[in-house]
Amino acid sequence: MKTIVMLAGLAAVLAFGTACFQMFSSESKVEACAGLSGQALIDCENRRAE
Amino acid sequence: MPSRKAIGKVGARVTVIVTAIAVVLAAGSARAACTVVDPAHAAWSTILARWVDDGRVDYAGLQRDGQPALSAYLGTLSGACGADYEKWTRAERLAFWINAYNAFTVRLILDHYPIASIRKIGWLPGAAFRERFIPMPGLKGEVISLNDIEHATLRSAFREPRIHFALVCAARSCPPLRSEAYRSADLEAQLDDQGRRFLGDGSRNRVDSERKTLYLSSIFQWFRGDFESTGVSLASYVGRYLGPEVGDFAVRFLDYDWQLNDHNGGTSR
Repeated sequence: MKTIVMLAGLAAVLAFGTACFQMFSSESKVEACAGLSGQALIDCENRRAE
Repeated sequence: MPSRKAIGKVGARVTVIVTAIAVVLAAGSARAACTVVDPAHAAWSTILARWVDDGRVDYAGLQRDGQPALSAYLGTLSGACGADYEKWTRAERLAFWINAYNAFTVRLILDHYPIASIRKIGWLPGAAFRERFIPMPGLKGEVISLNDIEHATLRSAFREPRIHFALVCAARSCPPLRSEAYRSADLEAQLDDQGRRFLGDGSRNRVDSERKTLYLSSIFQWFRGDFESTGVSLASYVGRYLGPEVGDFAVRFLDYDWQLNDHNGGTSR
């Protein structure tokens, strides 16, 4: 039981870490914005979303 | 009823505030002005053709006679802005960042020349690659480093392992600096040619057919994952340039020569 709880906890930490990495990663999913970062990336993605 | 003096004071303050707003707006519009980046990077080609020979750079000559041309070219790169960038093709973006990396590396060396190695710049190992000296306000919103171009931009956004045949970190074991700029129209051929030149140069990579062993540049050790992310082993990847028979060879890595890629033989400083 203890092992299962530990494994579940570890999995949760890993999932959380991955989600945070994805969320804060500056890498754009939009091809046209690849290589931009900061405000330029935000502006580019907004223009593409329009 | 407010006195004339009070009205005058308020008027002066309004004038100051309006002037400040105008200055801020003017600065903003100045920032928004974009330079037009030549997709052929002809200015960089002119510099490379004159001061690069067989991968070695005549830093002394470039420092003496080429600084205005280099500064002008770097200025056009720094002036690029996002609205234009997103209209570029993938090849245009790749060529831009590769040329930017190589040109700003030359700038950094000239700022410290004469110098024996890029590793002599800064106190800590690799400091030169972390130094923020590359203004990219329109594309990055800040001043960035060579590492930012290589790792945070080229490697993460483009996933093109052949960039490692093209990025020249001013060391003798780096791939050779071409005597021409990377151009979007020729990029595929240029990157493949770089791969052939780099892997075919016995001072950087060797094949021991008798022992079935590849002696590869440390670049392949540092960025092995990038090459293998194409779905093949490292030996198979280099087999595209060295011949498919090396695909099952063992792999060893060579030491890296960090001496400056100076045409004049470098300096002891």
